[in-house]
Amino acid sequence: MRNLSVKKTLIAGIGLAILGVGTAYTQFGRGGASDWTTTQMNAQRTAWIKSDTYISKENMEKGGFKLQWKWRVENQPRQLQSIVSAVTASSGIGRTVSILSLTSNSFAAADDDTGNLYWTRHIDAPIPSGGTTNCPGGLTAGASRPSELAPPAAVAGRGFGGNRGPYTSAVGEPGEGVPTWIMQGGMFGPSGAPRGAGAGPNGRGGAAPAAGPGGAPGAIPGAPGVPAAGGADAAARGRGAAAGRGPGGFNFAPQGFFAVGSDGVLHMLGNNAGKDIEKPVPFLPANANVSDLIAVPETVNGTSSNIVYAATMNSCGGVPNRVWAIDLAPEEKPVTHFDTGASPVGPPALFADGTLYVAIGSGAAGSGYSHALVALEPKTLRLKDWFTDPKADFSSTPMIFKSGDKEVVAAATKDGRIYLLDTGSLGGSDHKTPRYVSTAFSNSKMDYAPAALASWQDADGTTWILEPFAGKTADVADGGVVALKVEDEDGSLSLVSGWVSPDMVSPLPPIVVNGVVFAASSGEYHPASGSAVSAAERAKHSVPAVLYALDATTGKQLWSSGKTITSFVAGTGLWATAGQAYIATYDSTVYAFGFAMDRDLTH
Amino acid sequence: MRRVVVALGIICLCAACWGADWLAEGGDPGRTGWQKNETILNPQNVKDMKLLWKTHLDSTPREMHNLFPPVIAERVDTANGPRQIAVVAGVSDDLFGIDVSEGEQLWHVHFDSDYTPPTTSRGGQGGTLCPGGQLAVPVIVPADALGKYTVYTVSWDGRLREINLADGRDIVPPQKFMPPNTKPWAMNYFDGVLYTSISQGCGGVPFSFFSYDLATRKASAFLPSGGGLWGRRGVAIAPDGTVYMGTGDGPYNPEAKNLGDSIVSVKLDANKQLQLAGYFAPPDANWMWHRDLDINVTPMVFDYKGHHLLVDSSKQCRLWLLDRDNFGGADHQTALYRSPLICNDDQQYDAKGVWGALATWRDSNGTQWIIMPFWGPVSRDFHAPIENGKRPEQGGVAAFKLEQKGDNWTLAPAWLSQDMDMAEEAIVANGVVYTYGSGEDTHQQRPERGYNEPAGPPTPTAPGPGGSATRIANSTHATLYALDAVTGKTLWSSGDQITSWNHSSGISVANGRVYIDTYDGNLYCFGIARQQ
Repeated sequence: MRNLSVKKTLIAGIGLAILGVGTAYTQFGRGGASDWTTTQMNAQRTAWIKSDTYISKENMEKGGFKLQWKWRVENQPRQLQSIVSAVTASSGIGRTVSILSLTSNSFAAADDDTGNLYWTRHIDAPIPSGGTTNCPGGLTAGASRPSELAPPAAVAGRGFGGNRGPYTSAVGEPGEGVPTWIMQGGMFGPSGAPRGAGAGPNGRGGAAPAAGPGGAPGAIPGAPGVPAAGGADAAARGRGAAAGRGPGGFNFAPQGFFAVGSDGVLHMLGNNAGKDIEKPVPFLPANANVSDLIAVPETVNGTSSNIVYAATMNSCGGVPNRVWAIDLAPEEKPVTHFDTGASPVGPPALFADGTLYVAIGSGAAGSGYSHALVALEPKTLRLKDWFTDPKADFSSTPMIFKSGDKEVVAAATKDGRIYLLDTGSLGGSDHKTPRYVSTAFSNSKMDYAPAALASWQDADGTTWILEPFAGKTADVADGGVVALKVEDEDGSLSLVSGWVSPDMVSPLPPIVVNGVVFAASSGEYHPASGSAVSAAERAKHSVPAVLYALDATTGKQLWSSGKTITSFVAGTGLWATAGQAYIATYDSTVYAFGFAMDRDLTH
Repeated sequence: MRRVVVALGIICLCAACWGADWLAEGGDPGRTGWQKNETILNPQNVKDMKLLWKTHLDSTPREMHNLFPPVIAERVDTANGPRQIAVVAGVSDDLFGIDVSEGEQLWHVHFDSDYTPPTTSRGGQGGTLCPGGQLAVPVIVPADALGKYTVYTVSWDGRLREINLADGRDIVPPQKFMPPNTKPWAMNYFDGVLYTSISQGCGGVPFSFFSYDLATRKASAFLPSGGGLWGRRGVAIAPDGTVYMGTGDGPYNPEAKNLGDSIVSVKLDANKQLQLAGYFAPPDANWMWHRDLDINVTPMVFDYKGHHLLVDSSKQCRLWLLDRDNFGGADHQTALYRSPLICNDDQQYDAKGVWGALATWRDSNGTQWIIMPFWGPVSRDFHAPIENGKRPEQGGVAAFKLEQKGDNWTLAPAWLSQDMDMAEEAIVANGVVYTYGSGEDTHQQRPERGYNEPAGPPTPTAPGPGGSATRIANSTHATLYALDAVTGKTLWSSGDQITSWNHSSGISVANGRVYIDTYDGNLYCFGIARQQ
């Protein structure tokens, strides 16, 4: 049994490593984008990567965006689920991986640059046979890496140590060695940092003294190399699967992600091999339909740890509809829950203060809620606030965005209406009053429903909301993505039509990368609402997916995957890393589309 | 100038009359790894090679470094008559003179210094990359008289040492050369000038070429503004005095004059200042930067049928064939030939790719061969007409023939060796390829450890890739190989005779003997019995 204080130190080490090294990695990775740490990218579920060195409207118009690799992973789909979701991790020097959660209680990581398999991991837990579309069984929860509560800032830059001056040379006086001045500035030289500034940003030992003893003493005191995040404690654990090279140099620190298999046990698996880097702990009942997880780092009394949240849905496996939390800081790993009544429609979104927002769909409320959106206290899951509307048949995970000085939570209903609620007072004093409700964008009779929204802000400060919808309109025959501008006139919020995408069959929730919207026609066949059609029949009638890149301000098509993709997508969300967007199909294939970025893997 | 002419003349005389000296790492200024003058060992008798002696040298390891490969002169005038002497550098600022006949230590110098290394950061004990100490392989330069030789090396304090090979004494007092505590690579010598390069930012010193003109005592540095210049054999020098070296991770941005992941050439001007002469960057240079695939291999400079050529490789595990007269073409990114990946399909920054040193030689038919040792598995798509047993998993050697048809050049695969545990430097001598698997744990990422797995070896006390302590604990032992240079067939191996491993070191071949040093401070000498 490990010593508690040691354990706290270790937990702190992990936390610091995860927090700090993650930052370092995002600056090292390919093209300087942020990691995709959870479903819809972040805790607020905005699905917005603010900056990217490669992906931009201008670069998309220049061409060169194309299939870089595709990779079929070993997996056994259940019902229509196959690859549940993906997160990304910059888990080694110069390498970013996509970690896939698979229905067969497995995880697989692929090198985002090459598509090569990095590792696989199977959780040995029983999976009952059978299942339904609503309760597919097996692994249903997408994994989550620790996700900051504060929305990520734009990340720029490419690679480490980019601050170099031009090449240069010097010659010394006879017998005096090389001139002192040219040996200054750390490894990048005197022009990499202002003359007299000491060691450069990657300082490995401070500024150089003059040539040879007896020469002029080093005139410039060198700033010691800044230790990279992770620190000695993390390194001392010797578990440093995730080597990173941050602005301060090399470091070795454990990194991991949280996952739940069909047995409901929570695992923290390492990014570099998928091993359990912490002891698995009981979290949820077995055989539930568990939403994607969201892990949030926290610091209590100077000790860093994580809280992991999930929702159990559709009463699958006899498990009540609930929101769950597990606090990993205390030794006993307490689990708390909140009974929602009707089923949550997906994972919670989290506000910067840690408050959880959970959308609850239709169905019997029992002693809880239905047609509702609730706010829960972090960790304790005590009810803070709620909004209900009998007409609000919520279908999407809430999304939190900022409009002006307002923090707003948005959620979509099955008919495509978007509810805007004030995070501070969800439904006003009567819990029934939204800030705004849009018209219904979906008029389809199919059982399609928007599962998530996306939001981004343009250069003018205008906030946009993107919603997938199904049904025929004046613009499209089957469905697509509608882009809406958030307007705020004297405190009154509204959504104003911006643009509508090209026609799409059962569109996936879009994502936004640096002013470019990636949206997909999933190709999934949705029968009429209420009809009993088997998963096999649905798969049979589905058609191949198509990925689109659209100008986020006009909706203009910048690129499409055409006929490259050969299967349909059943609910797996899109994701992106620097210079690349990914789509995963029902046949367990990942397609990576992007710019080559000089890479040439010619054999 | 007269001194240079005399020295060159003496080199020729040595080669013609006395045999196969090994005066510099890589054997010659072009770093070809070709021991042209070997006559004792050959493909027929090398199978009889055995351990002639091993000797322990009083050098203290720093991080993963200890001894460096010897440089050797056969007929050195000493007070006790002519001796064949090997000079071995030790990282703890020691230099040893060994009589190779029986492995007797003739002299040992521990460099005097008033330099006090910093106790923190990469200055003191700066992790695997920056161990501190003496890190350059010395170079031997014939002096004005037959049998007289000067050893040039750089001590930890950055001073140039000029030492009499016969007795280890200073010929002149140590000279100011470069800042202390850097990481210089193997010394090279051409036309009265010493050259080296440094890497890893050790001591806070920028990545640089260095030169030292012996006549004027002027030292110069050229900073390519890329990454470190860390080819194992140090810089290569062409017959026209142009100096070549690959640069490590850094942006390739010629507009900003940043030459990362490139092959850069420099040359002294009339004032003995290094100036840029040219550069080549692979078209995927910035991709290489992202993947940490530094051009970490010393280029080889050689001429072929009137063409002035250069071949180099990197952790990425390709070969580039370049025309030195049109270096990189107009766009600086055009090679005469660029091979497919030979290994490192994963494009991994550690434990795979080329980390040792290439070799090139010309057979009696005029065919130019390129020998390429590498770490890790051979590429799934690389195949050679002759493959010797199990395809390499831990490492191996691939051989290529240089072919020219009009303006089209290629390096045609010829053979693939057996599996080797981290194949390092290669030397070709009289139809035999000598190479070795270092046995080093080359992983810079520590394996992910489950919560319920044992803690394993101690972890590093200072930040550094992989941490020396762990890697030392995981390293095994080196194995020396002799391969048929035409077929790659293993003719001989040292098996388990070598009981330790080495890191960032090499081998030497001279006068019928093959030398390898190990981390535990031993120098091994293999040869055939009749040599005794």
